[in-house]
Amino acid sequence: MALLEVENLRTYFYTLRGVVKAVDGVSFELEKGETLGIVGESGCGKSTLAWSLLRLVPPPGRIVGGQIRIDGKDIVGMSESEVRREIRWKRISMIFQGAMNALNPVYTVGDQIIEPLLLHTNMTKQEALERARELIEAVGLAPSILERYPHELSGGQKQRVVIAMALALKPDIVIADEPTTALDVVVQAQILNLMKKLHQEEKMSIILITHDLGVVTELSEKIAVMYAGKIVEFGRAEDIFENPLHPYTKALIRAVPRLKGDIHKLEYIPGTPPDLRSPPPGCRFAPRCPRRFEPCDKEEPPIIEYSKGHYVACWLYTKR
Amino acid sequence: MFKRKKKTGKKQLSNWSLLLRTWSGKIGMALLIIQLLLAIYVVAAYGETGLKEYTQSNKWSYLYPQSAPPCWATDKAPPAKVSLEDMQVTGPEASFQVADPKQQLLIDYFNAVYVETVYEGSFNYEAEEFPSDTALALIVEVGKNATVNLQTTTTDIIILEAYVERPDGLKVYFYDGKLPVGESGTVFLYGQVANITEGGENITFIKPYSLNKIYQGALIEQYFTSSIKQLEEYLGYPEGIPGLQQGQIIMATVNEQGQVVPLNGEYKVVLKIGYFVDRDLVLNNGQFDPNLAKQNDAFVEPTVYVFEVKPNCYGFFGTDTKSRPIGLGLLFGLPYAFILGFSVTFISTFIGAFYGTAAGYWKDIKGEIMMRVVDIVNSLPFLPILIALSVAFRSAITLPVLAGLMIILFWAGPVIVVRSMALQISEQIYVEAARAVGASTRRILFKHMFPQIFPYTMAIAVLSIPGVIVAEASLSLLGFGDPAAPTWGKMLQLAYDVGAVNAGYWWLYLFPGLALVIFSATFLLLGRALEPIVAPKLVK
Amino acid sequence: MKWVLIKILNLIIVLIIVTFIVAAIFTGPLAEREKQNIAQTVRQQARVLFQNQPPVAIARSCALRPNIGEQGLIDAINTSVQSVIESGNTTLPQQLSQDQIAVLEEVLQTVIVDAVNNKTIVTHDEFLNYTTAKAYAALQEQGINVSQTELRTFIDDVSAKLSEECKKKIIQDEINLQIVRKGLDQPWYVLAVRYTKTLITFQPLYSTVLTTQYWPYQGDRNALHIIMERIPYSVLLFTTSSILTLAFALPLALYAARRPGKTVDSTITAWSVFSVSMPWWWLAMVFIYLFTVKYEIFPSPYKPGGIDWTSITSILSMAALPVFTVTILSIGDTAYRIRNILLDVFNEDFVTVARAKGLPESMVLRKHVIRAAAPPLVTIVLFSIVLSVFSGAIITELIFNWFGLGRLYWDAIVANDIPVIVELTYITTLLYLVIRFILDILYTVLDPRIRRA
Repeated sequence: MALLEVENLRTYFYTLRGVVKAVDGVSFELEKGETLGIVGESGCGKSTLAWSLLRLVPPPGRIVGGQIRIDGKDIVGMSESEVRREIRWKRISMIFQGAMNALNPVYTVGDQIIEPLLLHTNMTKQEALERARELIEAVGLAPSILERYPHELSGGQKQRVVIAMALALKPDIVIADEPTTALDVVVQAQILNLMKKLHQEEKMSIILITHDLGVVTELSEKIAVMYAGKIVEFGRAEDIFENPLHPYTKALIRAVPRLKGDIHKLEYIPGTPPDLRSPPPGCRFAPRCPRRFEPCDKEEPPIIEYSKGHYVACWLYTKR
Repeated sequence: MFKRKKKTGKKQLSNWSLLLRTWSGKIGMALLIIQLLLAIYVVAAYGETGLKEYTQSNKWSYLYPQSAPPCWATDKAPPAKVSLEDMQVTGPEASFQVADPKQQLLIDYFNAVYVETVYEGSFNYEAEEFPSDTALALIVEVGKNATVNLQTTTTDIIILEAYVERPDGLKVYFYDGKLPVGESGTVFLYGQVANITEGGENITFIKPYSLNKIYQGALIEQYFTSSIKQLEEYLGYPEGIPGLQQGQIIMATVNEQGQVVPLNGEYKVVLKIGYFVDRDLVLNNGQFDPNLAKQNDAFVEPTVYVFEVKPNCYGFFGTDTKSRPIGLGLLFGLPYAFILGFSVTFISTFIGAFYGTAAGYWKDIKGEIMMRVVDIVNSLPFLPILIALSVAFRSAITLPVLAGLMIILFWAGPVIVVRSMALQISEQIYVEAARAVGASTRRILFKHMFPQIFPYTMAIAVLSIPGVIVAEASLSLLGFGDPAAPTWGKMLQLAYDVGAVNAGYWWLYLFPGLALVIFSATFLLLGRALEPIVAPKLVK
Repeated sequence: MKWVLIKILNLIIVLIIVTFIVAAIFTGPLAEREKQNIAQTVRQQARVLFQNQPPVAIARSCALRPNIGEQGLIDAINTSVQSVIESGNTTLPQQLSQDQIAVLEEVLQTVIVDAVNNKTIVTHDEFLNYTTAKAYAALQEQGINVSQTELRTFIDDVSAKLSEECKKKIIQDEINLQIVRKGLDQPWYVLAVRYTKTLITFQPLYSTVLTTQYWPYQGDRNALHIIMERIPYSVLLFTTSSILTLAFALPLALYAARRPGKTVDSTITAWSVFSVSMPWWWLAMVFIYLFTVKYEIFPSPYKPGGIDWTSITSILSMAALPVFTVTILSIGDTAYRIRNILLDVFNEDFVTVARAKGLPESMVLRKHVIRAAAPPLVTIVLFSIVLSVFSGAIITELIFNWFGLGRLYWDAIVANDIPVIVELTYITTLLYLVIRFILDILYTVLDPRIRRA
């Protein structure tokens, strides 16, 4: 049994102008110690997926169906207080995107790191601070930072603090939502290295959410490609990069500039992602797809296992 | 610094149309259009002189009842009017027999005749409420020779009776006696020559005058007052009936429960004129000949006799203590509210916007000093300082002066926001470029920076209109309003000055206040709708 | 602590400038008022001083004043002689020709000056004897023959007039002297600086009409005392209603912010629109009518016979309606402002982080939302309450006939009591600036970003 099983998860936003199907029937599994990268353009539902895993979908959104099982236990049906006490931060924690506002400006860094420790464990404040010191050192910062306020830190430092905070309770799964966005390249690399190191040391599972394929390759063993609320391709990182199946995945990979390898023109994907209030009836990528053919506009492609552990949802690979 | 999504011109346009998407924007826009149309209509229909008549004309008390509440709020007491033209005339009849022996002597020894005419009219009063007032005009024309040939005697020879006969048979006399000896020509028993200006023209006419406040020294005063006194005693209120004035008591009675109520039924309004005159002047073959009497100037005739029952309410909004219709005042206040609100906010915002732009452009000590000045102006407590300024300019206060004073305190409001926008813009490449190619400061400010900032500040102006209107009202209340301009603030001031709250004249302040609230709310709603565009989130 | 000093310095500078502006606006009337006071005092003193003084003594003191001197005396003599001649009350001039009158004037001038300079002449009789004799002799010399009695009467008349003229001159001179001594003849900016100093150092300005009612005693004319006596009443009214406002607005705002767009939220929004767009005092009028005239729920603020402002129970019962009104009016806008701030904070990532950490919602609110919203709450919300007190609430007080600063404004305006208006403007400005300053400090203390910067 996998550590995390997501099955046909659907999270919709009920806005005044219609229902936005931000996550629409997503399924995947995550083993203990595995790293999963979720890639997609902005607005494709990646972040909503992350919120769903923590049962923290902001209103007017809510999970309307599907299951999220941790160690076989479904958390979609769980009571709010149980999720709060048993799941959040203890089992699943999160490294937030853009570090900018993830830290409360009126509290010191230390206060914010020990907050979950005091809440979920029986530690005294002293013990908690001791643990915070360990954590902060583990992410490569000086313990003196604990007494500082967020605005006194640089972007990279803040991102490290956020990571330390996420590791405080040694959770099984850490969701990293765009952990390197808004950082400059050097710092980005440092943070990625740090996460790699921590992953190896702490043996936790990581779900890395990003629009940046480069980041994913650094860290992830498995990759899920999301498009318009759905996973269109899922597989091991090598498989996805060496043998991308879905036209969207292919386009994404071609859109990444490379230093090595074949020199080819940098491409972009024409068109814009569909309006999630009224997605196209067939394949959601069909309107932008260069290889669209007759079934694409009519019916949604089922997800199939193309090769072992490599899934794709595209009519090109589906025998009818 | 601003965290603001970069907007293209097109995007901005669609943002302005956002105004109509929110509910507050829709309501605000609808209210604005309605009020604007009304204001334009008022100005077009009445003109400036027409508007100013509200405060300056004296015609109102002749035209409308005083302090009348709105008709929907009270049981209506219908108005009634009986005038000479509608009256039945009996006579003139000549007679040689009178009851008074002294007067009989006149007839017998001075070769005179007694001529009597009776005028009688009536009206019905059916209401649960008292009228607000009753009014009377009574003017008699006395021919030169109606008395002259009998001057040898000291006996008065023109006898006049004017009264209202109530349904219960009681008579309330306006006059019951003799006209003063030697009076000839026009005798004003009661009533006023009204001299009003209507649309800049002077109109003179005779207007019935209030019996509630009978004027001292009027010929009818003593008769009427004693008549009312008798009626009060008869009704059991020798000290006067609480809550009722003389003009209303004419119609008072006491019902079975002992309450004072208006007496319903038919009221007769009667005038009886009799006079002694030389027979030769008026008699033709022993019969009274009116033509002969006219010819010989030996007539006594009423020219005006009007009795009016004033309604106890007026229209939808009532009237104020100066008899001005509140509804008209609300309309007249509208253009003034627009003019004052717009001129103050737009001028001060324009000044503030330009000042802020300049302060943002000069990043050296010059800009620093400019901002210090703004700090000082902004740290002034608005109303106390405005009051102080108004006291200093007390004698000269007109609407433009008031607007000027407000601008002095308002202009600094938007400067800080404008400056931070200007700082941002001035760092953009094209301003740098303009500076690099040697464009003059003025050119950079006017051509490059100001136009970008201006639309935002105008939206700020919309939000500050309510403040101006409320401030004008507050100053008016304290007596610092333009005496000529009929603003809502002045209406509220009148209400406060006459103690309308305690007197129960709620319509005096309720409606002007509501008009003010609706007017201000219009701009607040528009401002709220504009807020997402106007107030880009400030990040510290 | 350096930043506190800088802020205090800033406060003082702004206060001085603002006070100077206020003083400058009213320099004219204030100086005029002082001059009137001086004139009044001088006239009173003069009346006492000149009582029973013979004309010669008055003329002497006139001549002794450096600003008048002998020339001034001569002018006064000439005017007196002229006016006596013109008045036609005496027979002497009628017997003389124009040339002779000119001679008479000349003679009298010398003779009276001589008499004034002669210190031995004390009483009026001595003066008359001396002058008549001398003038008679001089006139004889010129060949003009007049009756000695007539001349004596004439000189008596002249001296009476002269004493009036001299009194006038002395009083005017003394007034001018004192005006100069007190510096009231200085240009307006010098005076403005002086009045600024008077205001800032709390030196007394004396009212023209108004007096204190209770404190420190009834009838004190010190404008400062008149104001101080009323401050506690205003403070009572507005602190109570501000506290009540916050007590109601905060929970309302919290409720609304968590359910944006729902009933409570839109009610608050509409409420705020209406409470901002109406003059508060207008609703005060409506409420007074509703709650004291139509339905007698609260005691009327216009009790015949006035209100006892020294009895606690009376004050509290009178405060009920104003507090109710002001609270009702300010809740809407305050809640709306708090709601906006809270909504902003609710959308911040750190609130989601707090939830993700497994914090219960109440703790998220208390520890993260409200604490993070505290700095803007202090500046925007508290400040807007203070602002409204200093703008709309002043007149609301007047409508409620409340014995506070608002009604004092009205009283002072009606009485045109400039010193009180000046002092009031200064004190309200001072209070306003000090409160702003305190809020500023509070903000800095609450927001670590500003504190450490």
